[in-house]
Amino acid sequence: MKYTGLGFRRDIADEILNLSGDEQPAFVEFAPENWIDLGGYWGKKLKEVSEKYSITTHGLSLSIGSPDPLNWEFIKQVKSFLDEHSISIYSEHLSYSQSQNAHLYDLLPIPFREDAIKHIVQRIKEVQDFLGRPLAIENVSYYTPVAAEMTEHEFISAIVNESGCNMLLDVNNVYVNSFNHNYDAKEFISHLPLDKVAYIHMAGHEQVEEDLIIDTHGQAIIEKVFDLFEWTLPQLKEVPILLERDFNFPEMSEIQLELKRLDAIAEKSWTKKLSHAY
Amino acid sequence: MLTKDTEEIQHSLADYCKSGELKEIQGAKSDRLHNYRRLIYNIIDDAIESAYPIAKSFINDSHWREMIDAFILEHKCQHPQIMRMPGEFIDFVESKEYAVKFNLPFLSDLLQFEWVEVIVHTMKDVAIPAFNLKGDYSASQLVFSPYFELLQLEYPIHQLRKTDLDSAKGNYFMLVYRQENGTVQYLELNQLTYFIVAQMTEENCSLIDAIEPFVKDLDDETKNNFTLNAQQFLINLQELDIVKGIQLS
Repeated sequence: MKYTGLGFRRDIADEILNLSGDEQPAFVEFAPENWIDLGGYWGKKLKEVSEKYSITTHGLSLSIGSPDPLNWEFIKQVKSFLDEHSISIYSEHLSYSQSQNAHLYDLLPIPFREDAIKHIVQRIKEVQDFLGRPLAIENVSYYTPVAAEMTEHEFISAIVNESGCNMLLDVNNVYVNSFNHNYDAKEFISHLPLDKVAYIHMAGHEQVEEDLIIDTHGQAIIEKVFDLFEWTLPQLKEVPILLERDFNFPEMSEIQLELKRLDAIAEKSWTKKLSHAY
Repeated sequence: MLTKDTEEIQHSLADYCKSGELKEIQGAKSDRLHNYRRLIYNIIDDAIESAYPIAKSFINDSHWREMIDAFILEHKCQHPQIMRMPGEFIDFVESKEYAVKFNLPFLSDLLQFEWVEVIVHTMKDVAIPAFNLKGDYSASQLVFSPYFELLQLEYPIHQLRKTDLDSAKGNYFMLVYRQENGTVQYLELNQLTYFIVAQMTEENCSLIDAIEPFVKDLDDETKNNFTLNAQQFLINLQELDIVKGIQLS
Protein backbone atom coordinates (compact mmCIF):
# COMPACT_ATOMS: atom_id res chain seq x y z
CA MET A 1 0.00 0.00 0.00
CA LYS A 2 1.33 3.42 -0.91
CA TYR A 3 -1.05 5.84 0.78
CA THR A 4 -3.43 3.90 2.97
CA GLY A 5 -2.94 2.95 6.58
CA LEU A 6 -4.97 1.05 9.15
CA GLY A 7 -5.92 1.75 12.75
CA PHE A 8 -3.86 -0.45 15.08
CA ARG A 9 -6.44 -2.04 17.37
CA ARG A 10 -5.79 -4.84 19.82
CA ASP A 11 -8.35 -7.14 18.22
CA ILE A 12 -6.36 -7.19 14.98
CA ALA A 13 -2.88 -6.47 16.33
CA ASP A 14 -1.38 -9.85 15.50
CA GLU A 15 -2.95 -9.91 12.05
CA ILE A 16 -1.47 -6.51 11.27
CA LEU A 17 1.92 -7.64 12.53
CA ASN A 18 1.76 -10.74 10.34
CA LEU A 19 1.02 -8.90 7.10
CA SER A 20 3.80 -8.77 4.56
CA GLY A 21 4.63 -7.36 1.13
CA ASP A 22 1.72 -5.79 -0.76
CA GLU A 23 -0.64 -6.70 2.05
CA GLN A 24 0.99 -4.30 4.46
CA PRO A 25 -0.75 -0.99 5.08
CA ALA A 26 1.37 2.08 4.36
CA PHE A 27 1.30 2.96 8.07
CA VAL A 28 -0.67 2.26 11.22
CA GLU A 29 -2.43 4.70 13.52
CA PHE A 30 -2.60 4.67 17.33
CA ALA A 31 -4.65 6.55 19.84
CA PRO A 32 -1.78 7.61 22.13
CA GLU A 33 -4.10 7.41 25.16
CA ASN A 34 -4.42 3.66 24.64
CA TRP A 35 -0.66 3.05 24.57
CA ILE A 36 1.12 5.64 26.69
CA ASP A 37 3.15 3.99 29.49
CA LEU A 38 1.89 0.56 28.54
CA GLY A 39 4.33 -2.26 29.24
CA GLY A 40 4.23 -6.04 29.29
CA TYR A 41 2.47 -7.94 26.53
CA TRP A 42 1.01 -4.86 24.85
CA GLY A 43 4.18 -2.88 25.34
CA LYS A 44 5.98 -5.56 23.31
CA LYS A 45 3.32 -5.39 20.60
CA LEU A 46 3.72 -1.63 20.44
CA LYS A 47 7.47 -2.02 20.04
CA GLU A 48 7.05 -4.64 17.31
CA VAL A 49 4.59 -2.60 15.32
CA SER A 50 6.59 0.61 15.61
CA GLU A 51 9.64 -1.23 14.27
CA LYS A 52 7.66 -2.58 11.32
CA TYR A 53 5.46 0.38 10.35
CA SER A 54 5.40 4.16 10.20
CA ILE A 55 3.10 5.50 12.88
CA THR A 56 0.49 8.25 12.91
CA THR A 57 -1.56 9.17 15.95
CA HIS A 58 -5.12 10.20 16.56
CA GLY A 59 -5.82 11.46 20.06
CA LEU A 60 -8.99 11.15 22.09
CA SER A 61 -8.58 13.17 25.26
CA LEU A 62 -6.97 16.50 24.38
CA SER A 63 -10.44 18.07 24.56
CA ILE A 64 -9.29 21.07 22.58
CA GLY A 65 -12.75 22.68 22.63
CA SER A 66 -13.38 22.30 26.34
CA PRO A 67 -14.05 25.22 28.68
CA ASP A 68 -11.73 23.42 31.13
CA PRO A 69 -8.01 24.23 31.13
CA LEU A 70 -5.69 22.11 29.01
CA ASN A 71 -4.16 19.17 30.88
CA TRP A 72 -0.45 19.88 30.50
CA GLU A 73 0.66 16.83 32.39
CA PHE A 74 -1.17 14.71 29.82
CA ILE A 75 0.16 16.77 26.90
CA LYS A 76 3.70 16.19 28.20
CA GLN A 77 3.03 12.44 28.11
CA VAL A 78 1.77 12.74 24.54
CA LYS A 79 4.92 14.63 23.55
CA SER A 80 7.14 11.95 25.09
CA PHE A 81 5.18 9.27 23.23
CA LEU A 82 5.45 11.12 19.91
CA ASP A 83 9.17 11.71 20.41
CA GLU A 84 9.90 8.15 21.52
CA HIS A 85 8.27 6.69 18.41
CA SER A 86 9.38 9.46 15.99
CA ILE A 87 5.79 10.33 15.11
CA SER A 88 5.15 13.45 13.05
CA ILE A 89 1.36 13.33 12.65
CA TYR A 90 -0.66 14.00 15.79
CA SER A 91 -4.31 14.53 15.04
CA GLU A 92 -7.18 15.32 17.34
CA HIS A 93 -10.90 16.02 17.24
CA LEU A 94 -12.54 19.42 16.97
CA SER A 95 -14.77 18.69 19.93
CA TYR A 96 -14.62 18.48 23.71
CA SER A 97 -14.63 15.49 26.02
CA GLN A 98 -14.04 17.13 29.38
CA SER A 99 -16.31 19.43 31.36
CA GLN A 100 -16.10 20.74 34.92
CA ASN A 101 -13.07 18.61 35.68
CA ALA A 102 -14.65 15.36 34.49
CA HIS A 103 -13.64 13.28 31.48
CA LEU A 104 -16.58 11.91 29.49
CA TYR A 105 -14.54 9.95 26.92
CA ASP A 106 -16.76 10.93 24.00
CA LEU A 107 -16.70 13.76 21.47
CA LEU A 108 -19.24 16.47 22.28
CA PRO A 109 -20.12 19.15 19.72
CA ILE A 110 -18.81 22.67 20.26
CA PRO A 111 -21.05 25.71 19.68
CA PHE A 112 -20.08 27.19 16.31
CA ARG A 113 -19.40 30.65 17.71
CA GLU A 114 -16.80 33.40 17.45
CA ASP A 115 -15.70 33.15 21.09
CA ALA A 116 -15.23 29.40 20.73
CA ILE A 117 -13.04 30.00 17.68
CA LYS A 118 -10.78 32.40 19.61
CA HIS A 119 -10.63 30.05 22.57
CA ILE A 120 -9.71 27.03 20.44
CA VAL A 121 -7.24 28.90 18.21
CA GLN A 122 -5.32 30.01 21.29
CA ARG A 123 -5.27 26.49 22.70
CA ILE A 124 -4.15 24.92 19.42
CA LYS A 125 -1.28 27.39 19.19
CA GLU A 126 -0.18 26.57 22.75
CA VAL A 127 -0.31 22.83 22.12
CA GLN A 128 1.53 23.09 18.79
CA ASP A 129 4.24 25.27 20.35
CA PHE A 130 4.76 22.77 23.12
CA LEU A 131 4.71 19.67 20.92
CA GLY A 132 6.92 21.22 18.26
CA ARG A 133 4.56 19.78 15.64
CA PRO A 134 1.44 20.99 13.92
CA LEU A 135 -1.82 19.53 15.12
CA ALA A 136 -4.13 18.05 12.50
CA ILE A 137 -7.67 18.88 13.60
CA GLU A 138 -10.49 16.62 12.50
CA ASN A 139 -13.98 17.64 11.48
CA VAL A 140 -16.11 15.49 13.79
CA SER A 141 -19.47 13.90 13.26
CA TYR A 142 -22.21 15.37 15.43
CA TYR A 143 -25.82 14.54 16.00
CA THR A 144 -27.18 17.93 16.93
CA PRO A 145 -25.82 21.42 16.50
CA VAL A 146 -25.49 23.36 19.75
CA ALA A 147 -26.09 27.13 19.90
CA ALA A 148 -24.58 27.65 16.47
CA GLU A 149 -24.11 31.23 15.25
CA MET A 150 -22.36 30.29 12.01
CA THR A 151 -22.06 27.33 9.68
CA GLU A 152 -19.88 24.34 10.47
CA HIS A 153 -17.52 25.01 7.56
CA GLU A 154 -17.09 28.65 8.61
CA PHE A 155 -16.23 27.46 12.11
CA ILE A 156 -13.72 24.85 10.97
CA SER A 157 -12.11 27.12 8.37
CA ALA A 158 -11.63 29.95 10.84
CA ILE A 159 -9.97 27.67 13.37
CA VAL A 160 -7.65 26.06 10.82
CA ASN A 161 -6.70 29.34 9.15
CA GLU A 162 -6.21 31.38 12.33
CA SER A 163 -4.33 28.73 14.31
CA GLY A 164 -2.05 27.56 11.50
CA CYS A 165 -2.90 23.95 12.26
CA ASN A 166 -3.43 21.26 9.68
CA MET A 167 -6.71 19.59 8.95
CA LEU A 168 -7.62 15.96 9.18
CA LEU A 169 -10.45 15.60 6.70
CA ASP A 170 -12.75 12.80 7.76
CA VAL A 171 -14.74 12.12 4.62
CA ASN A 172 -17.13 9.76 6.35
CA ASN A 173 -17.88 12.43 8.97
CA VAL A 174 -18.73 14.90 6.22
CA TYR A 175 -21.13 12.37 4.75
CA VAL A 176 -22.65 11.56 8.16
CA ASN A 177 -23.15 15.23 8.98
CA SER A 178 -24.54 16.06 5.56
CA PHE A 179 -27.11 13.29 6.05
CA ASN A 180 -27.94 14.16 9.66
CA HIS A 181 -28.13 17.92 9.07
CA ASN A 182 -29.37 17.85 5.52
CA TYR A 183 -26.66 19.69 3.61
CA ASP A 184 -24.67 19.04 0.46
CA ALA A 185 -21.47 17.17 1.26
CA LYS A 186 -19.54 18.31 -1.83
CA GLU A 187 -20.45 21.93 -1.30
CA PHE A 188 -19.38 21.60 2.33
CA ILE A 189 -15.98 20.17 1.34
CA SER A 190 -15.45 22.87 -1.28
CA HIS A 191 -15.71 25.48 1.49
CA LEU A 192 -13.01 23.88 3.65
CA PRO A 193 -9.36 24.99 3.64
CA LEU A 194 -8.34 22.06 1.45
CA ASP A 195 -4.76 23.27 1.12
CA LYS A 196 -4.38 22.53 4.86
CA VAL A 197 -5.53 18.94 4.67
CA ALA A 198 -2.65 16.77 5.88
CA TYR A 199 -4.45 13.54 6.63
CA ILE A 200 -7.67 11.77 5.61
CA HIS A 201 -9.89 9.39 7.53
CA MET A 202 -12.33 6.96 5.96
CA ALA A 203 -14.71 4.72 7.86
CA GLY A 204 -18.03 2.97 7.97
CA HIS A 205 -21.12 4.10 9.88
CA GLU A 206 -24.51 2.86 10.93
CA GLN A 207 -27.88 4.36 10.07
CA VAL A 208 -29.91 3.96 13.27
CA GLU A 209 -33.00 6.00 12.38
CA GLU A 210 -34.59 7.18 9.18
CA ASP A 211 -32.85 10.53 9.53
CA LEU A 212 -29.87 9.67 11.73
CA ILE A 213 -26.50 8.05 11.11
CA ILE A 214 -24.08 7.26 13.95
CA ASP A 215 -20.38 7.32 13.17
CA THR A 216 -19.50 3.88 14.51
CA HIS A 217 -16.36 2.73 12.67
CA GLY A 218 -17.90 -0.73 12.93
CA GLN A 219 -19.05 -1.32 9.36
CA ALA A 220 -17.63 -1.33 5.86
CA ILE A 221 -17.40 1.99 4.00
CA ILE A 222 -20.53 2.57 1.91
CA GLU A 223 -20.45 3.41 -1.80
CA LYS A 224 -21.62 6.99 -1.30
CA VAL A 225 -18.66 7.66 0.98
CA PHE A 226 -16.30 6.08 -1.53
CA ASP A 227 -17.83 8.38 -4.18
CA LEU A 228 -17.31 11.44 -2.01
CA PHE A 229 -13.74 10.37 -1.34
CA GLU A 230 -13.07 9.92 -5.06
CA TRP A 231 -14.57 13.35 -5.77
CA THR A 232 -12.48 14.98 -3.04
CA LEU A 233 -9.01 13.57 -3.65
CA PRO A 234 -8.09 15.44 -6.84
CA GLN A 235 -8.54 18.67 -4.92
CA LEU A 236 -5.95 17.69 -2.34
CA LYS A 237 -2.22 17.23 -2.26
CA GLU A 238 -0.96 13.73 -1.57
CA VAL A 239 -1.57 12.87 2.08
CA PRO A 240 -1.86 9.68 4.13
CA ILE A 241 -5.27 8.02 4.19
CA LEU A 242 -6.49 5.98 7.12
CA LEU A 243 -9.09 3.25 7.21
CA GLU A 244 -10.69 3.41 10.66
CA ARG A 245 -12.15 0.19 11.92
CA ASP A 246 -12.71 0.02 15.66
CA PHE A 247 -14.90 -3.01 16.29
CA ASN A 248 -17.04 -5.66 14.58
CA PHE A 249 -13.93 -6.71 12.70
CA PRO A 250 -14.38 -8.80 9.55
CA GLU A 251 -11.70 -11.13 8.18
CA MET A 252 -8.46 -9.33 7.39
CA SER A 253 -9.03 -10.20 3.72
CA GLU A 254 -12.12 -7.96 3.75
CA ILE A 255 -10.21 -5.14 5.40
CA GLN A 256 -7.53 -5.64 2.76
CA LEU A 257 -10.10 -5.12 0.00
CA GLU A 258 -11.10 -1.78 1.49
CA LEU A 259 -7.47 -0.74 1.94
CA LYS A 260 -6.62 -1.65 -1.64
CA ARG A 261 -9.65 0.14 -3.02
CA LEU A 262 -8.79 3.32 -1.11
CA ASP A 263 -5.19 3.08 -2.26
CA ALA A 264 -6.19 2.52 -5.89
CA ILE A 265 -8.47 5.57 -5.85
CA ALA A 266 -5.68 7.66 -4.36
CA GLU A 267 -3.16 6.39 -6.88
CA LYS A 268 -5.50 7.17 -9.75
CA SER A 269 -6.48 10.61 -8.43
CA TRP A 270 -3.03 11.81 -7.61
CA THR A 271 -1.21 10.28 -10.54
CA LYS A 272 -3.67 11.95 -12.91
CA LYS A 273 -3.17 15.20 -11.07
CA LEU A 274 0.59 14.93 -11.42
CA SER A 275 0.43 14.17 -15.15
CA HIS A 276 -1.79 17.23 -15.64
CA ALA A 277 0.74 19.36 -13.82
CA TYR A 278 3.48 18.25 -16.17
CA MET B 1 -11.92 33.95 26.22
CA LEU B 2 -15.10 31.91 26.14
CA THR B 3 -18.20 33.89 26.99
CA LYS B 4 -20.12 32.80 30.06
CA ASP B 5 -22.99 31.86 27.77
CA THR B 6 -20.93 29.49 25.61
CA GLU B 7 -19.25 27.97 28.64
CA GLU B 8 -22.60 27.31 30.31
CA ILE B 9 -24.02 25.74 27.15
CA GLN B 10 -21.05 23.37 26.97
CA HIS B 11 -21.37 22.44 30.63
CA SER B 12 -25.13 21.96 30.24
CA LEU B 13 -24.62 19.45 27.45
CA ALA B 14 -22.06 17.54 29.52
CA ASP B 15 -24.36 17.67 32.57
CA TYR B 16 -27.20 16.23 30.54
CA CYS B 17 -24.96 13.40 29.35
CA LYS B 18 -24.11 12.57 32.94
CA SER B 19 -27.55 12.95 34.53
CA GLY B 20 -30.04 12.37 31.74
CA GLU B 21 -32.01 15.36 33.04
CA LEU B 22 -32.90 17.29 29.96
CA LYS B 23 -32.90 21.05 30.32
CA GLU B 24 -33.23 23.40 27.39
CA ILE B 25 -29.88 23.48 25.59
CA GLN B 26 -29.80 26.42 23.25
CA GLY B 27 -29.98 25.46 19.59
CA ALA B 28 -29.83 21.72 20.25
CA LYS B 29 -32.24 19.13 18.88
CA SER B 30 -33.60 17.57 22.05
CA ASP B 31 -34.54 14.33 20.30
CA ARG B 32 -30.90 13.78 19.29
CA LEU B 33 -29.20 14.47 22.60
CA HIS B 34 -29.90 11.04 24.05
CA ASN B 35 -27.42 9.59 21.57
CA TYR B 36 -24.56 11.32 23.40
CA ARG B 37 -25.75 10.09 26.76
CA ARG B 38 -26.06 6.53 25.42
CA LEU B 39 -22.61 6.62 23.80
CA ILE B 40 -20.96 7.93 26.96
CA TYR B 41 -22.74 5.35 29.11
CA ASN B 42 -21.61 2.55 26.81
CA ILE B 43 -18.01 3.75 26.69
CA ILE B 44 -17.68 4.03 30.47
CA ASP B 45 -19.65 0.84 31.13
CA ASP B 46 -17.50 -1.13 28.66
CA ALA B 47 -14.28 0.14 30.22
CA ILE B 48 -15.39 -0.78 33.74
CA GLU B 49 -16.81 -4.15 32.74
CA SER B 50 -13.59 -5.01 30.89
CA ALA B 51 -11.57 -4.27 34.02
CA TYR B 52 -13.89 -6.16 36.40
CA PRO B 53 -15.40 -9.11 34.51
CA ILE B 54 -15.57 -11.33 37.61
CA ALA B 55 -17.20 -8.66 39.75
CA LYS B 56 -19.69 -8.04 36.96
CA SER B 57 -20.60 -11.74 36.97
CA PHE B 58 -21.49 -11.54 40.69
CA ILE B 59 -23.71 -8.47 40.40
CA ASN B 60 -27.15 -8.56 38.89
CA ASP B 61 -27.85 -6.28 35.95
CA SER B 62 -29.99 -3.75 37.79
CA HIS B 63 -27.43 -3.32 40.57
CA TRP B 64 -24.65 -3.00 38.00
CA ARG B 65 -26.64 -0.38 36.10
CA GLU B 66 -27.31 1.47 39.37
CA MET B 67 -23.58 1.63 40.12
CA ILE B 68 -22.61 2.75 36.63
CA ASP B 69 -25.35 5.38 36.51
CA ALA B 70 -24.26 6.77 39.87
CA PHE B 71 -20.59 6.67 38.89
CA ILE B 72 -21.24 8.64 35.71
CA LEU B 73 -23.48 11.13 37.52
CA GLU B 74 -21.49 11.71 40.69
CA HIS B 75 -17.89 10.88 39.95
CA LYS B 76 -15.61 13.18 38.01
CA CYS B 77 -13.39 10.85 35.99
CA GLN B 78 -9.86 12.17 36.28
CA HIS B 79 -7.74 10.04 34.02
CA PRO B 80 -7.39 11.12 30.38
CA GLN B 81 -6.50 7.51 29.52
CA ILE B 82 -9.75 5.57 29.67
CA MET B 83 -7.84 2.34 30.29
CA ARG B 84 -6.69 3.82 33.61
CA MET B 85 -10.11 5.20 34.59
CA PRO B 86 -11.64 1.99 36.06
CA GLY B 87 -9.19 2.27 38.97
CA GLU B 88 -11.27 5.25 40.11
CA PHE B 89 -14.32 3.00 40.37
CA ILE B 90 -13.03 1.19 43.49
CA ASP B 91 -13.04 4.23 45.78
CA PHE B 92 -16.44 5.22 44.43
CA VAL B 93 -17.92 1.79 45.17
CA GLU B 94 -16.48 1.91 48.67
CA SER B 95 -17.74 5.43 49.33
CA LYS B 96 -21.27 4.41 48.28
CA GLU B 97 -21.13 1.26 50.44
CA TYR B 98 -22.46 -0.94 47.65
CA ALA B 99 -20.91 -3.99 49.32
CA VAL B 100 -23.41 -3.62 52.17
CA LYS B 101 -26.27 -2.48 49.97
CA PHE B 102 -25.97 -5.44 47.60
CA ASN B 103 -24.93 -7.92 50.28
CA LEU B 104 -21.59 -8.58 48.63
CA PRO B 105 -19.14 -8.08 51.51
CA PHE B 106 -16.20 -9.18 49.34
CA LEU B 107 -16.96 -6.64 46.58
CA SER B 108 -14.20 -4.21 47.46
CA ASP B 109 -11.61 -6.98 47.71
CA LEU B 110 -12.72 -8.44 44.41
CA LEU B 111 -12.48 -5.10 42.63
CA GLN B 112 -9.02 -4.51 44.12
CA PHE B 113 -7.81 -7.95 43.08
CA GLU B 114 -9.05 -7.55 39.51
CA TRP B 115 -7.66 -4.04 39.24
CA VAL B 116 -4.24 -5.08 40.54
CA GLU B 117 -4.17 -7.73 37.82
CA VAL B 118 -4.81 -5.01 35.24
CA ILE B 119 -2.16 -2.74 36.78
CA VAL B 120 0.48 -5.47 36.84
CA HIS B 121 -0.38 -6.63 33.33
CA THR B 122 0.09 -3.13 31.92
CA MET B 123 2.91 -1.81 34.15
CA LYS B 124 5.36 0.29 32.18
CA ASP B 125 8.52 -1.56 31.18
CA VAL B 126 11.49 -0.24 33.15
CA ALA B 127 15.19 -1.00 33.28
CA ILE B 128 16.07 -3.58 35.93
CA PRO B 129 19.20 -2.81 37.98
CA ALA B 130 22.22 -5.04 37.45
CA PHE B 131 22.43 -8.08 39.74
CA ASN B 132 24.50 -11.16 40.56
CA LEU B 133 22.97 -14.59 40.65
CA LYS B 134 25.53 -15.93 43.08
CA GLY B 135 26.09 -14.72 46.60
CA ASP B 136 24.59 -14.60 50.07
CA TYR B 137 20.82 -14.18 49.69
CA SER B 138 20.35 -13.70 53.44
CA ALA B 139 22.75 -10.89 54.06
CA SER B 140 22.43 -9.04 50.75
CA GLN B 141 20.00 -6.56 49.35
CA LEU B 142 18.16 -8.20 46.48
CA VAL B 143 16.85 -7.02 43.14
CA PHE B 144 13.15 -7.76 42.79
CA SER B 145 11.15 -7.76 39.58
CA PRO B 146 9.48 -4.35 39.27
CA TYR B 147 6.34 -6.06 37.96
CA PHE B 148 4.42 -7.14 41.02
CA GLU B 149 2.04 -5.79 43.64
CA LEU B 150 1.29 -6.92 47.16
CA LEU B 151 -2.30 -7.12 48.21
CA GLN B 152 -3.88 -7.58 51.63
CA LEU B 153 -7.47 -8.79 51.54
CA GLU B 154 -10.25 -9.78 53.93
CA TYR B 155 -11.70 -12.45 51.65
CA PRO B 156 -10.03 -15.30 49.72
CA ILE B 157 -10.78 -13.83 46.33
CA HIS B 158 -8.49 -16.35 44.66
CA GLN B 159 -10.86 -19.12 45.84
CA LEU B 160 -13.99 -17.24 44.91
CA ARG B 161 -15.79 -20.05 43.15
CA LYS B 162 -15.17 -22.78 45.69
CA THR B 163 -15.39 -20.99 49.00
CA ASP B 164 -18.25 -19.81 51.16
CA LEU B 165 -16.83 -16.32 51.29
CA ASP B 166 -18.99 -15.04 54.12
CA SER B 167 -17.56 -17.57 56.54
CA ALA B 168 -14.03 -17.25 55.19
CA LYS B 169 -13.47 -13.68 56.30
CA GLY B 170 -9.95 -13.28 57.63
CA ASN B 171 -6.58 -12.02 56.51
CA TYR B 172 -5.28 -13.00 53.12
CA PHE B 173 -2.00 -11.94 51.58
CA MET B 174 -1.34 -12.03 47.86
CA LEU B 175 1.51 -11.28 45.54
CA VAL B 176 0.34 -10.56 41.99
CA TYR B 177 3.17 -10.69 39.46
CA ARG B 178 3.85 -10.51 35.75
CA GLN B 179 5.78 -13.22 33.99
CA GLU B 180 8.27 -12.67 31.21
CA ASN B 181 5.64 -13.64 28.60
CA GLY B 182 3.33 -10.92 29.90
CA THR B 183 0.80 -13.13 31.68
CA VAL B 184 -0.19 -12.31 35.24
CA GLN B 185 -0.14 -14.84 38.08
CA TYR B 186 -0.70 -14.65 41.81
CA LEU B 187 0.99 -16.26 44.76
CA GLU B 188 -0.67 -16.64 48.13
CA LEU B 189 1.58 -15.48 50.95
CA ASN B 190 1.21 -15.60 54.72
CA GLN B 191 1.53 -12.65 57.02
CA LEU B 192 5.25 -13.26 57.56
CA THR B 193 6.24 -13.75 53.92
CA TYR B 194 4.09 -10.75 52.98
CA PHE B 195 5.97 -8.72 55.58
CA ILE B 196 9.36 -9.95 54.33
CA VAL B 197 8.67 -8.95 50.73
CA ALA B 198 7.16 -5.63 51.76
CA GLN B 199 10.07 -4.85 54.07
CA MET B 200 12.81 -5.91 51.63
CA THR B 201 11.33 -3.93 48.74
CA GLU B 202 10.15 -0.85 50.58
CA GLU B 203 13.19 -0.51 52.86
CA ASN B 204 15.66 -2.07 50.40
CA CYS B 205 17.07 -4.19 53.20
CA SER B 206 18.49 -7.73 53.42
CA LEU B 207 16.52 -10.75 54.58
CA ILE B 208 18.41 -10.77 57.87
CA ASP B 209 17.45 -7.16 58.52
CA ALA B 210 13.86 -7.78 57.47
CA ILE B 211 13.31 -10.69 59.86
CA GLU B 212 15.28 -9.24 62.76
CA PRO B 213 12.15 -8.18 64.71
CA PHE B 214 10.87 -11.78 64.54
CA VAL B 215 14.05 -13.63 65.46
CA LYS B 216 15.80 -11.40 67.95
CA ASP B 217 14.37 -13.19 71.01
CA LEU B 218 14.61 -16.73 69.63
CA ASP B 219 17.24 -19.28 70.58
CA ASP B 220 19.94 -19.98 68.01
CA GLU B 221 18.51 -23.19 66.64
CA THR B 222 15.01 -21.78 66.14
CA LYS B 223 16.49 -18.64 64.72
CA ASN B 224 18.59 -20.66 62.29
CA ASN B 225 15.60 -22.73 61.14
CA PHE B 226 13.50 -19.61 60.74
CA THR B 227 16.17 -17.99 58.59
CA LEU B 228 16.60 -21.11 56.44
CA ASN B 229 12.85 -21.24 55.80
CA ALA B 230 12.83 -17.57 54.86
CA GLN B 231 15.77 -18.17 52.54
CA GLN B 232 13.90 -21.02 50.90
CA PHE B 233 10.96 -18.66 50.36
CA LEU B 234 13.27 -16.25 48.53
CA ILE B 235 14.63 -19.10 46.40
CA ASN B 236 11.04 -19.95 45.48
CA LEU B 237 10.49 -16.33 44.50
CA GLN B 238 13.63 -16.47 42.37
CA GLU B 239 12.34 -19.54 40.56
CA LEU B 240 9.24 -17.50 39.72
CA ASP B 241 11.48 -14.63 38.53
CA ILE B 242 10.07 -12.35 41.24
CA VAL B 243 13.52 -12.16 42.82
CA LYS B 244 16.12 -11.48 40.12
CA GLY B 245 19.34 -11.72 42.13
CA ILE B 246 21.71 -9.86 44.43
CA GLN B 247 22.16 -6.13 44.04
CA LEU B 248 25.58 -5.04 42.83
CA SER B 249 27.12 -2.82 45.46
